[in-house]
Amino acid sequence: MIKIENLCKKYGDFSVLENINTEIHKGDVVSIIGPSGCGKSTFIRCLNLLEQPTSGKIFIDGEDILDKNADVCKLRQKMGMVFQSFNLFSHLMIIENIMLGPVDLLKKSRQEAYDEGMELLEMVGLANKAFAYPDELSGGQKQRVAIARTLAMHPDIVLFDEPTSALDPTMVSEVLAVIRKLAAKGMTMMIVTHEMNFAKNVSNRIFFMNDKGIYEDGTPQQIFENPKKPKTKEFIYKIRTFNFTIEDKKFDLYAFNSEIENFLKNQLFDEKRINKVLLVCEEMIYNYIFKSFGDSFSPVEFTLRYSQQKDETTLLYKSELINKSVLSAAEDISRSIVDKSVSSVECDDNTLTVTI
Amino acid sequence: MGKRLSVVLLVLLTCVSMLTGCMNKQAAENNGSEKTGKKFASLNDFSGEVIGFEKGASLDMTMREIIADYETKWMNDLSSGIEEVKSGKAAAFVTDLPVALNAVSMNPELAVFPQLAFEEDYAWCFPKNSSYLDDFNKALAQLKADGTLDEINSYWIESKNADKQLEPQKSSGENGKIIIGGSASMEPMVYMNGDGEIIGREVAVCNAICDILGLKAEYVNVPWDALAESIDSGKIDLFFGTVSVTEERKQIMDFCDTTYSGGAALIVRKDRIADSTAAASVYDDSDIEEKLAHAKIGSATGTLLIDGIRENYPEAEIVEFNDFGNAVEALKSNKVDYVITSRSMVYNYARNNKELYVIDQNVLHDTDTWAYAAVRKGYDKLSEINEIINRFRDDGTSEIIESNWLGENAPYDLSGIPVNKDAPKWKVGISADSEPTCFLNGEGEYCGVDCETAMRIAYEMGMQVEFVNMDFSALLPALQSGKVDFVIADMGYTEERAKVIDFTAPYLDDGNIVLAKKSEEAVAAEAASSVEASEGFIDKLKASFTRTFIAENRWKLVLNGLGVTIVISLCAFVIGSLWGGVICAGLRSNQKIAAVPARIYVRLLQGTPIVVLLMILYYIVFKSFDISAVIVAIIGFSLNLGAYTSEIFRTAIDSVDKGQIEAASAIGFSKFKVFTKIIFPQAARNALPVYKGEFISLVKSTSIVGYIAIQDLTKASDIIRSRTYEAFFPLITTAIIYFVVTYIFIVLLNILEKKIDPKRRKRTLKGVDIK
Repeated sequence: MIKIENLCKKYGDFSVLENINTEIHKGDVVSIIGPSGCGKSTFIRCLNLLEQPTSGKIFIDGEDILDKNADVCKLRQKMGMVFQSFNLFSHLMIIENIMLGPVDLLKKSRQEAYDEGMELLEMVGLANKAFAYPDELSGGQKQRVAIARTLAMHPDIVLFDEPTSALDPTMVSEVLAVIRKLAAKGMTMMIVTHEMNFAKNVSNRIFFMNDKGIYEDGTPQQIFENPKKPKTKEFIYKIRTFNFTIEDKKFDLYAFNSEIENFLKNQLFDEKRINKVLLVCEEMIYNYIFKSFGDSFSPVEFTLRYSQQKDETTLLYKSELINKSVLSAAEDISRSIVDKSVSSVECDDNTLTVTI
Repeated sequence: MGKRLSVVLLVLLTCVSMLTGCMNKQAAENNGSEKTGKKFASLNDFSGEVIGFEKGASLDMTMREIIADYETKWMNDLSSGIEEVKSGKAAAFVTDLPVALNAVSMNPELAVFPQLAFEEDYAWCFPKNSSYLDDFNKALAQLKADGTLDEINSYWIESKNADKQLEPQKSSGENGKIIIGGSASMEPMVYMNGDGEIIGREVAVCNAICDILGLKAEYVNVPWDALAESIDSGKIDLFFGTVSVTEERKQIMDFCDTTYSGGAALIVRKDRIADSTAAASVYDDSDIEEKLAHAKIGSATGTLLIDGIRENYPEAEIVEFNDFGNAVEALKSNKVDYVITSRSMVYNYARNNKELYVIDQNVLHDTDTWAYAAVRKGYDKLSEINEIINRFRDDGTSEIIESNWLGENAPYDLSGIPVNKDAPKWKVGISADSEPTCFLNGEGEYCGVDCETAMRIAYEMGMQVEFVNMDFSALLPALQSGKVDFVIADMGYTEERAKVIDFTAPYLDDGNIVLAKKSEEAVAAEAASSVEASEGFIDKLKASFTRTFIAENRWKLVLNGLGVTIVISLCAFVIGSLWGGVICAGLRSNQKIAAVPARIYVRLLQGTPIVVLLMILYYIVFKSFDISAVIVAIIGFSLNLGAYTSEIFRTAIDSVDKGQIEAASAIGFSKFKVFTKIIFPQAARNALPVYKGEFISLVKSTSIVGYIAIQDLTKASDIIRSRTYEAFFPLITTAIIYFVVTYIFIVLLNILEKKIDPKRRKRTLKGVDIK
């Protein structure tokens, strides 16, 4: 459906995208992930010419949108876009937002456009808000309307540019639910997102973007569980890994705990599980490591890793002063707490490894 | 609720302004109306009083014509008359002015009543068929001509020397002796000194005449009531003194030519005058030139008077005004001490403003006070015009013109002026803002000395006048640019003006004259006794209203002016907005070729005052086009408005959320559709509040179109002001009309704003069946 050849985008001398070549087929649900600033949004915006590519070809159903004679407006009508900041037309009611394109561009009658619009609103669950104005809706509601508006144009493909990044967690799920529904219906979609779990569950292809292009392209299974290329691996691990450096014996334990809690929440840990990890972690730090340090101290690099495949959490503590003696430093009470929760505690090469 | 509040505020505003305007008048009234014992403020107040006269004086008969019912008391002589007045038995004693002045200077509790009873000429009496009569007349004429008479007057009447010396006669009487009788009781005219000699002004004059005729004069003291007998009896050859020339007397004796012009004055007690200082201030102009030297003097810009004032009184502070009307207003409100204006206009101002008085003295020396007309350099009809003007001066036409407009009861008759209705038009520039030289009457006809002069000149040249009325300062530029062929506006000759235009021969001698303001007490005194005092506040208001609007259908002027204002405002608004849209497109364009000129245009127009812009357009750009000034004004305001609205539009457009524009583009709308469906509706709503303000500003700024000779609402009020000499009513009314007009527009625009507010729309869709 979409064929991209040697797409390049430069801002002045600074090159963001270089020689991208890929193809998107009907029914594909492509999630585009990658670190910030790697050009994900730029890439997707080049497809419907919201950004003007520097060179290359983009074929939409065989027509090159970058051709001088191309009817850009017509081609754009085939591609819907959902934005991070919703971009509803603030001077029109919700239903009018949805009707505007069909009536004016698709030349549908107002009645027809109205009926279809109401159907779409029902599908996204907002039929009762048809005569409201955008500023009377919450963020999640606005985004759902935006999706309905896009669908009203019967596009062949819908592009999502970070659709949930501006939403707070309670609203994220309602929007993701709608997108999931669309995917189930077989709509071709390209989604730029940071919601890794969602990307994994919904898409059939993942583009990991880095190094000015599509660094690695594969199924969710391939990308998330077995990343091949080094940077992909790094990324995946990064998103599965929490790092922290303990600089001082008197470090801020509460901040530390809070960050771990956030990280684990993102991994969809429940409260019980999180508390277990925190407990073990605290015990290890105070009653094993600091105990073994005695009066001296050296910075400790802490890493928390979670593997979904093995459903295993790994805590790693690395420090100059860590050696085998750490294991015997703890008192009985601590030892019993820890032993109950963990599956293994090992130490070698200045690194203490705890597996939960 | 908001509308009700606005109406209340409007009413409050009107009331407050009326109150402040009339508080001034109240203050003046409150100052003087306590009458403790009957005080005299005007001649009429002497009705029913006792007035003393010297026996035999004819002043009584003349007085009867002025005050009908008073009681005459005959006194023996001046001194008994004075006593009578001092004791209160008589209200006043009537005698000749110099005598009266002299008397009061020696009796401090007495004063000369400010109002003269009447003016009179005096002559000496000779018996019928006297042989001396002709010779005396010739000698008298000689003394007048060679200035001797002035010298004598100056010594005997005007100087305040108590001990005056009579020069002995020069003649030895080779042609005989002459016996002269007179009542030696009228100091300083005829009286006795300490040595019993008869001396005085009349004596000095008589001596001088006798010297010329070679006669020896002998003087005898003859009382007034013996005048007739003494002449009849032949005991005296002539009776002299300030003898009134009456018909009765002429029957029995002959009078020589006028020996003295004076008047009859009333000697009264100072404490019986409505305000004793009032008497002094009216006549206190002998040291006017000293006063002027350090005073604030007002006059009209561009007139020769200003130059003359500067030369004569370099230390004085000169305040320049657009026209004399404004200068007089400033005088009335004490912002200047004196106004120097021209003779032709001054009596109008004094007549219409009772608190001002005229000092009729030539205070600008070596100043050319002639009025000249002007033509552009090289104008071919100049010599013809000059010939006509000079002819008018010679054949009396100038006098006909002046008597039609100048002086106390000028007829203001336009019907007598010859006009040839089929003749080709001659464009004449005038400034119709000063009565009586050039002004508009109630029928909208141009009147005045300048106008009639122009019309007559045109007639002589076989043409008819088309008057173009504009601000005085705009006349010469209009002449130079060819918009008018002839300018006549009471203009004086200056070197600078002569460099750019050619002056014609002078057509009117304007003179210069000083207007001053009477003291507060004098004003109060007059107000207390005059008819006006009996009018209440409401009556005054009614009178003002009538003068401003009803008289001469002046409301038509106002309505016309309002129409012009509205037409210019609306046209300029529409055209200016469209033009602003074009400039805005340029500003937002990516092409330098459109954006740079647009930006330059905006900076230029925003930095040029609208007045200057209008004048540049009218006098320079459209100089050679015969284009109506109203169209020029519309163009000017449109250009100006365009600059400001382009910025308003640009910011409004830029204020629309870029995301929505992207979304619309992504849906597949063309750039044009994105603008019309998404940007414009939102930008218009954003711009409307500021846009409303621009329109209101526009309406008010049209008030300056008077500068390019358009008669809008403000100019109409100016014209009314210059005729009624009132500032309050016309100005306040103009302000109120502007306020009402702009208020109506604001209300309409507010309604529009509410209508296009999306939130106020009914939440339904058109053409759709909502199941």
